[in-house]
Amino acid sequence: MILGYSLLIIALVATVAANVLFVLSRGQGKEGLAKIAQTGVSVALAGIVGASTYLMYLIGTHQFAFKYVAEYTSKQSATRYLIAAFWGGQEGSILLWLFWTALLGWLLARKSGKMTASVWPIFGLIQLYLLGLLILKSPFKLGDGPIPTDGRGLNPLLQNPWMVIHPPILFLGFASTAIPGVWAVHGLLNRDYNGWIKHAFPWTLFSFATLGFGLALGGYWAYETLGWGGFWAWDPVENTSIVPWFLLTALIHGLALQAKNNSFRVSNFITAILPFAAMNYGTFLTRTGILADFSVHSFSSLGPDAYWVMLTAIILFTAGPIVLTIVRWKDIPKDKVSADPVSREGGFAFASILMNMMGIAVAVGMSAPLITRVWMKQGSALQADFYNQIGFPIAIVVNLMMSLVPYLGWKKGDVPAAFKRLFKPYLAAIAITLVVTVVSFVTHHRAPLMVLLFATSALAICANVVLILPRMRTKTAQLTVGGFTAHTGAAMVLAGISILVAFQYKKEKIVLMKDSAQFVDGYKLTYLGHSKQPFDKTNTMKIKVEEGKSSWIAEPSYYFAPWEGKDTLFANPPAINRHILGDTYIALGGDTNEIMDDPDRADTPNNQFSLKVGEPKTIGDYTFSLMNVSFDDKAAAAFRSKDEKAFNALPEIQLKAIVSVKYQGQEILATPMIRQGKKSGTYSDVVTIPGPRENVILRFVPPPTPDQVEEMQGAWLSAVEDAKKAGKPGTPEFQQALIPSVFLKQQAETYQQLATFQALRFETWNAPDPGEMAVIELSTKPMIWLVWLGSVLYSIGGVIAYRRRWNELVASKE
Amino acid sequence: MKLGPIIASVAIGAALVGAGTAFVKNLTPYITFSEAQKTNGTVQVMGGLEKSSVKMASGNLAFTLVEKKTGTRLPVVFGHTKPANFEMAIEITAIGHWDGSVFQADNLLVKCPSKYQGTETKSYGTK
Repeated sequence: MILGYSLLIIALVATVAANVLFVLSRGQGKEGLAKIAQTGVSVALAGIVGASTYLMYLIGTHQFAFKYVAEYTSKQSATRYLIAAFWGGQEGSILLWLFWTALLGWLLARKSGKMTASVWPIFGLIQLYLLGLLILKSPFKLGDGPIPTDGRGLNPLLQNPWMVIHPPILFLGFASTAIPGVWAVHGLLNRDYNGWIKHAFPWTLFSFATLGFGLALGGYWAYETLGWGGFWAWDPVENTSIVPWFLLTALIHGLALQAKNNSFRVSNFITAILPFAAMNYGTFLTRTGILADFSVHSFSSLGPDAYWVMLTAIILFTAGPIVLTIVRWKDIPKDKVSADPVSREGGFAFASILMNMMGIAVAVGMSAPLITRVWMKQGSALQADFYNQIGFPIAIVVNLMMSLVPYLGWKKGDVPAAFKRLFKPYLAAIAITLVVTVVSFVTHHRAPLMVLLFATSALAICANVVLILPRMRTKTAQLTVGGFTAHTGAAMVLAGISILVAFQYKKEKIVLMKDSAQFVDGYKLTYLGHSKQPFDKTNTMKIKVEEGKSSWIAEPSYYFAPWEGKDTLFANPPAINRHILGDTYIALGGDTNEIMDDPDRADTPNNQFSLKVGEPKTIGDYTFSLMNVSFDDKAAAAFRSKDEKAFNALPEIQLKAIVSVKYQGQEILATPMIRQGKKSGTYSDVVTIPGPRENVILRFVPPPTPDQVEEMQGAWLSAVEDAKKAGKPGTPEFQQALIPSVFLKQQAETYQQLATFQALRFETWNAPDPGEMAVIELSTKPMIWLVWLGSVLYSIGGVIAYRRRWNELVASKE
Repeated sequence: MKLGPIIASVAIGAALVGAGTAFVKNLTPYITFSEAQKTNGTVQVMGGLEKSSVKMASGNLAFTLVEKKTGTRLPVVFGHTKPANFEMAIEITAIGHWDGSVFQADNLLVKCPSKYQGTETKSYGTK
C-alpha cells in the first residue's frame, strides 16, 4: 500500500517540479533548469509506470489484502483476465488513462524542442489532475476486515480476450485528446495563432485514429461476445467516446482549412479544446453515478470527493481555455478569405460544422437526464431513436459531401466539371444501389431512408476509391490518401448500417426440444443438447443449423457461475456463422429454468431436495444418502467451542458433505463442498456423478444471504397481511388468500435454516434435464463485415494522414 | 449575393427545429402510474417489485410494480429474458407503454443491493 502511494506521490512531486522548473527556465541562459525539468518528466513517468507495474504485481501474486485485487481477481482467474483486471475497475482504468497520459507527456517533452518549456506546463496540469484523482481513488487501498483467502474475480461478462485489447487502445485515444487542446492553449497564451496547428495536427489525427479504432473494437466486442446482437447502443458510456471522435473529425477539417488559407482561426481554438472537454464531461457523467438510472453500464459512483475533483477539472479545462479564447478574440487576426461557398474551402468548413453539430447533438442527448431536470422533477432520458433521427439525415449529407467536395477546386468549385469526373463512380454507385433497391423490394424490406443512405454511401465509396487508386503508384502520393481512405471507411460503415437496418431479421424466443427439428424462416434447427454440464465454464448448447444445403453446429455458451451471491447464468459468447452475404447469429433467447417455472409446465419435478443423515432420498434411478457433514478445521473449532463471534469473524467457511449415491446397484461417494467467503461470496463445487446418464451432477444449493432471509420473511408477513384484507381469519376467503403465504412461510423457514447451516439442501441436474430444451434467438446480420472493414479503413486513413502531417512538422523544424 | 447567409440561417434554423423536435419526441419521462395508464407513447415508470406477483407465462415475465408514494399497483409484462437477480431488486425502472390492460415493458433497469459496490443498476431488454 505504502509503495503504491509513494510511487504516485513521487510522480506528483516530479510533475509539480517539472512544471515549476519549465516555467522558471524560460528566458536566456536557463537551459540547465529545463534539463532538470526534463528529468522531472521522466521521473514522473517512472513513478507512474512503477505504480502500474506494482498493481500488476499485486494482481499477479493474488494480494487479496488490497481491496482492488480482491474485488476484480480470484485465484482461478486466467492470466489474461488478471491483466484485464488491471483496468476492469474504476480505479485501475483511471491508472490506465494516467499511464498513457504520462507516456504521451514524456514524448511531448522529448519532441517539442525549444517549445517544451512553454507547452509542457499546460500538459502538466492535466497529469496533475489525474494523479490527484488517482491518489484520492487509489487501487492501492487495503480492504477493511480480515484478508479474504480468495478474491471475487472479474465479472464473467468481462472475461473475454477483447477485454485485454480494447480498453488500452480506447484509453490511448482518450489520453491523446488532451494534446490538441494543450497546443491550442499554448498558441493562445503565446499569441501564436497559426504555428500551433502544425503541432496539434498530427496529434489530432493520432487521437482520431486510436479513439476511432478503440470504438470499433468495442463495437466488435459487443457484437461478438455479449449476445444482444448489436454493436452500438448509444449508451452514455459509448457516447463518452464517440462525442470526442466527432469533435476531432471536425477539428481535422478545420485545421486542414487553416493550414491551407489561414481561415477558421478562432473556431479551431474552440474545436481543439472541445474533444478533451467532452471526454472529461462524459467521464464525469458516467463515473459519478449521475446517470445511474439511465445507463446500461453499471459504473458505480466514485464518491463525493472525486465528484468535486472531477467537476473542478471540467470547469478548469473547459472554461479556462474558452475564457482565454474570448480574451484573445480581438487579437486573433481574421484573414479575409475570398472563396466561393461551392469550393473545397466551403466543403471543409461545412464538414467541420456538421461534425461539430453531430458531436454536440450526441452530447446534448446524453445530458438529457440533466437538462430535463430544469423542468421535470426526475429528469428523463432519451430513447436511442433520437440519435438515429439526427444521425441519419446528417449521414446522408456527409456522404454527398464526401463524394463531391474532393472533386471541387480550392477557391472556386466547378460543379459541372466535378460531375464529369464523378461520372464513373456515379455509374458504379447507381448500379450497386439498383441491385440493393430491387432486393429490398423483392424481399419486402422497404426502407426509403435506408436506400437513400445506402445510395449516397455507395457513391462516396466509389468516388473516394477512384481517387485513391492512381495515388498508390508513388510513395509521396501514397501519403496523401489518408483523407480519401478515411472517407471510404466512414462511408462503408454507413453503407453497412443501412443494410443492417433495412434487411436485419430477428426471431426471439425459439423453443427447441432436444433432437426434434424446427423450421424457422428457412432455417432448420435441431437442438442436440449440452456439450458438457451447465456448471462447466466451457459448456455450450449444441444446435445444428441447416440453411439450404449447408449446415453448421451453433454452440452458444451456456453456463452458471457464482456471481453476486448466487448462481448466475452466463450466456456469452453467442454463436456466429460468418458469411460474405451476412452472419447468422444465435444467442440464448431465454433461461431454460424460467420455462421450467412456467405454470404451463408445472409437471416438471423440482430437482432441489434436502438431505439429513440417515434419511436417504430417491430421485429417479438414484438414491442419495448423506453420510457425514463437516466444517473446515478453523470453522469446526469455532463451532465446537460455540463461539459464535469467532465463527462469524472467519473470512471463509468451508462445508463438506459426503454423500453416497446409489444407482443400478452401484455405489459411489460424492463429496460436494460449499465455500462461503466474506468477500468472495459463495462458491458451490460441482460433483459430476459417473453413471448411465450424462449431466447428472450434485451440489449444495448455495444458502441465501441474510438479506434474502429477511426479505423472504417480509414477503411472508405481508402475504398474511394481504390475506387478512381478503377476509377475516377463519373465513374461506382468508384461507384461499393465505395459500401463497404458506409457500412463502416454508421458503422463509428454509432460508432461515440454510443460512445457519442447520439443514443441507442439494440439487441434481438430472431428469428431466434442463438440457432437454433450449430457448434461442436467431438473427441475421447482412453484410455486417462492411462495418468492421469500414472502421479499420477510417483508422488506417487517420494513421496515413498522421504520418503526412508528422512529416510536415518535422520538415518545418529543419 | 445576400442569398448565401439567408439560405445558411434557414438551414441552421431548420436543423435546430428538427433536432429540438427529435429531442422532445424521444424523451421518456418518469411519470406516475396513473399518468402512464393515460399516455399512449413510450414512458418510464419506477416502482418497487411485489415479490409474490412474479410469474412466468409462456416465456413472458409478468409482475406488479408498486409505486412507493401512492401505493398504486401497475401490472407489467416483459417479453424478454428474465434479468438475473430480478427477485432481489429493490427498485425497478420499466420503459415501455400502457396497452390498455398491462404495461408492456421494452426495457428494465434493475437496481439490486450489492454487497460489493453499493447499489448497482443493470439494464435488460431491447437496445
